[in-house]
Amino acid sequence: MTPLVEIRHLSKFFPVTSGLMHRKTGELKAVNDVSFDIFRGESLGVVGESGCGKSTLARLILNLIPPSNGKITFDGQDINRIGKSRLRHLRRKMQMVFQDPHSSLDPRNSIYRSLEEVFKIQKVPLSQQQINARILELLGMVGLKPEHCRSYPHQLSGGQKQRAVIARALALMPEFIILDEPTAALDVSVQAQIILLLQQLGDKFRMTYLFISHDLALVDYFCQRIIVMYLGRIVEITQANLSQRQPRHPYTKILMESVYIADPLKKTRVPHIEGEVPSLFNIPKGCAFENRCVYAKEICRLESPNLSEIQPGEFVACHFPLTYA
Amino acid sequence: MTLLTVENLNVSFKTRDGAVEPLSNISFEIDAGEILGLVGETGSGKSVTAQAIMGLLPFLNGWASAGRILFNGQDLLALCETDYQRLRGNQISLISQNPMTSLDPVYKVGDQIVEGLKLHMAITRTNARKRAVDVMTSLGIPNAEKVFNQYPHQLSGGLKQRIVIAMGLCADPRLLIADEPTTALDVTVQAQIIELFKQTTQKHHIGLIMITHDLGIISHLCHRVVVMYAGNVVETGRVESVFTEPKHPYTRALLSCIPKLGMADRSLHAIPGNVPSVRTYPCGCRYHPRCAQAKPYCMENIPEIIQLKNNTQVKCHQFTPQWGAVS
Repeated sequence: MTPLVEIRHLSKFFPVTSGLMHRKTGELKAVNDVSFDIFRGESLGVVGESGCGKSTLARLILNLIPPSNGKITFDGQDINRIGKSRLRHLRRKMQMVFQDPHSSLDPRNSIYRSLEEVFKIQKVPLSQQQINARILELLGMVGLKPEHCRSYPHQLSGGQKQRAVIARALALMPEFIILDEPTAALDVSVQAQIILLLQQLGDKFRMTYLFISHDLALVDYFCQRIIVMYLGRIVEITQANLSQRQPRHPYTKILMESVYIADPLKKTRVPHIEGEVPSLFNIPKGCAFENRCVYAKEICRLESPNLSEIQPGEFVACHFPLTYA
Repeated sequence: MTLLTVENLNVSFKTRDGAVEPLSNISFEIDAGEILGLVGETGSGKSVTAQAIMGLLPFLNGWASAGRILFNGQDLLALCETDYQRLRGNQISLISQNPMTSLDPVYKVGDQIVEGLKLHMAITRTNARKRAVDVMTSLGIPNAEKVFNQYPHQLSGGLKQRIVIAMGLCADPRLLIADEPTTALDVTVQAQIIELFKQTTQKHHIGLIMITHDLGIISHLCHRVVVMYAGNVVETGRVESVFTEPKHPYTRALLSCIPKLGMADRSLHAIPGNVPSVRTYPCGCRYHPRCAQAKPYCMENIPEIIQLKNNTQVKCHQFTPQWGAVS
C-alpha cells in the first residue's frame, strides 16, 4: 500500500538573529531530520511536550512554511516543487483544524460566510443554490442547526465554534485533515463530543487524520499509530493501545507513567524524572534526552541515535531501547 | 480538626447588566493536613470560591450575599481589609495558574519571596534571605543561591512555578489554595509539582485546596473531592467513593467522558449540550438539560443536598425517597 503522505528527512531550522543588522547568531532546530509515512484511512497521532516541534511539523506538511531540508510527498506529488495553482488545487485535499476555534473564525463573518468563502476561494463550480444546500448539509453533519448559519462566532460556545471549524475543513471533501490540539481549548465534556464527531466523520468518509496533542491518553484513544517527538526529533513510532504494549524509548515510558489515571485504586507510580526539557537553542549534542534519562551511558552523550525499525512498524531512536523479558 | 468551613455561601458580582450570582449554596470543609479537590468545568465557580476565601471579592466588584466562611472558627467575611491582609499570605496562601503572571518580571525572584516574608514576619533581611533559600531548596530547586538572584524570564516554567509555591509557603500558612497550578506545565514537570504538593502538605501538616479540571490529578493527590457544576456543589465525598461509585449523574458522566489509557475503542461517552454560563443557569436542577435521567420534576424543583451512607453528599432528586413517585 502506498502511503498518502511520505515525509523524508524533513527539517525546519529557524534562524536566530540579534543586533541591529539581524545578524544570524544561531539556529532553532524546530524539526530535525524527521521521516515517516501517513497511510490512507489511518489516524496517526503525534505526541510530545511543548517545544517538541509538533505544530511546526503540521505547518510543514501543509506547506504553510517552507522546509529547510527534506521532502514531503502528498499523493505522489512533491508539494514543495509543484506550482502555485496546482498547490492550491491540492489544498482541497488537505485541511487543518487548529487549537483555538475562536481565532480560526473571522469575528466579522457569520458562519455562513465563513463557509461560503471556502467555495469562492477555491472557485468551485457550484451555483449559489448548490452552495447553500452544501452548507446546510455540512452544518447538519457536524451537529449544528441550520439557524447557526446566521450566527457570528461570538454567539456560539467553544464547542459549537469548533464544530463550525470542522464543517469548514470538510467543505471541499478533503482526504486528509491535520488536527492540531483540536480540543485543548474545550471543556472535557465538550472534548468528548468533538472527539466522537471526528471519529464518526472519519469512519463515514474514510478520512486520514494527523492528530497532534500533548494528551497521550487522548491520542492513544483516537489513533491507530503514535509518533512520540522530543525536541524536534522522532524518538519512537509505535502502534496505539499503549496499555497493551511496552514502550521502547525511555521517554515514551516516562510520558506514559506521567499520565494520572482517574482511578484512586490505581495510584499512579510517579516516575523519577529529573530536570526539564532543554532549551531548543541549546540542544545537547548526542541524544537530546540524555540529561534526563536514567539509562544513559557514555555513547548517549556523544552520538545522536538514529531512528531504526526494531520490529515491523515499530521504530525507536535510542542506543539502548528498552527490552522486556 | 476542621481548618476551614464554607457554609451556604452565595457570591454575587455587580455587572453593567445587573447583578449575577455565580455561586449559590456552596458548602464544604477541610481539615488540617487534608487535601481537598475542587473539580469542575469552566464556569462552575471553582476560582470564584478561591477568590471568596482569599477575601478578594471586594476588588472584583463582588460580595458574599449569604453564608459564612469560618477559618479556625473566625468568620472571614466579617473581617475588615486590614485584618484580612494580616491573614492573607500568612495564614492562607493562593497559588495561581500561570506562574508568569504571579511573578514581577523586573525583580529578582529571591527578592520577591523576601518581600512577602518581611511583610508577614518580624524578620531581618539577612534572615529572610536565608529562609527563602531554605524553602527554595526544600522544594527541590537546584542551586537555590544562584536562582535567588535570577529574574523570572531566566527560569523555566517548572522552576517559576516552584518559586511561586515557595512564595506561598515561606510564611508557613495553615491553608494553601492552588488554582490549576499545573495547567501551564508539561506532563513530566506536572508530575514533579504534584508530588511536591503531596510531600509539602504532609510535612507541614497544612490544608490544601486543589482546584483543577483534571480528574486524574484529583484521584492521585486528594483525600476528598468537591464536584462543582454551574455554581453549585453537586457531590462531595471521599475520593475512593466518588470515583468508584459516583452518585450524581454529572459526576458519572464526567468520569466516563475522559479518555484513559487502555480504554476500549468507541467507549468514550460525551455529555450532550454545553456548560451554561452564569446568565443562562437553568431553573430547577441546573444539570437537568444535560441529564439522561432527568424528569419534568427536575425542571421545576431545586434539589436539596442529601447525605448518603458512605459519607457522600449529593445534590440530586434521585436520592430522595419520593423519586420513584414523581414524574
